[in-house]
Amino acid sequence: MSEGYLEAIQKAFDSKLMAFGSTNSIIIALENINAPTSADKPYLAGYLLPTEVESADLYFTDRRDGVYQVDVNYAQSTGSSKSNAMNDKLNAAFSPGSDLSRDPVCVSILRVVPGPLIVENGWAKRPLSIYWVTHTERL
Amino acid sequence: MAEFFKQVSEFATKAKISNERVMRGATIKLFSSVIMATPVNQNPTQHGGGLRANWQLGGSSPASGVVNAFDEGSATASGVSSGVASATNWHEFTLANNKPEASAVEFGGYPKTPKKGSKVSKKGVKPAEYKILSAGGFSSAAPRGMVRVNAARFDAIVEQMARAQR
Repeated sequence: MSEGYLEAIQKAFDSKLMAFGSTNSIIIALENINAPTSADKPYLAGYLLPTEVESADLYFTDRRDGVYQVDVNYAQSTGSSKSNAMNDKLNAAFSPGSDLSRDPVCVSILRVVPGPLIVENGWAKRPLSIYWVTHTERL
Repeated sequence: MAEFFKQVSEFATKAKISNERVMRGATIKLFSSVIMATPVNQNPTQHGGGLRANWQLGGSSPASGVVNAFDEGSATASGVSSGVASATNWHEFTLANNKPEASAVEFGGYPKTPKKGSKVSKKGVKPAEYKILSAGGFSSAAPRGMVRVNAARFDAIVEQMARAQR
């Protein structure tokens, strides 16, 4: 196994988000890496929110589900249109029914749900929840 | 929730087990998990448990308004579970929380890099004490939020309940 399951799941999403940022010319902040503090630089922040690991059968397989949250951050008082447009692009990139593969996992995207616009500390953030599932060999 | 019922119903029909028992059981498990994942305010200068106590059970329409109650334990989860178990109409349930801080807890709406944190010393105490109660925008007591990480387990919960009913 090249890397642990959890790390592979996180990297599968993070690398897809990094590629998305490069294509769409927007800064990406990954977990535990500093985000921009100046509100004139819009950015996307990705977080992995895994749930409990559960048995998928009697002996061999674990089921892992969770949410990969992408915060779309624009400056406060700039309306919602740019944020909404970016959410749509993210939805197309992480489309429900598609898979992300990174050895040793293949993560299926189940659904994508935009959240409320949260305005705070000079930023307007709309979180996008990407629900995922994967099955792995029991550790 | 209508889709929730349809999925449970299809699963239960295939497995030849009671729709009603799976629906009620899965709902109780899901709602209890959400309620118990709800953080209780760790600031000693404030009354804790207001957010947890504000989970309200509804039928097809979610409950509205905020209740003035506090729960640092499992009273709300017990109450909601009893409501699900005894409701006449078991086809549709909703769980709502209308407290304003709910979205910050769920989506990580607190400052990513708090400077001082929350004031935790009583009024008049000098120097004032501050404590950082969040990390990466999420409450330290609920670093993955409350609802979505449990909703993501929906299929697994239904399967568990169906196995238990066989």
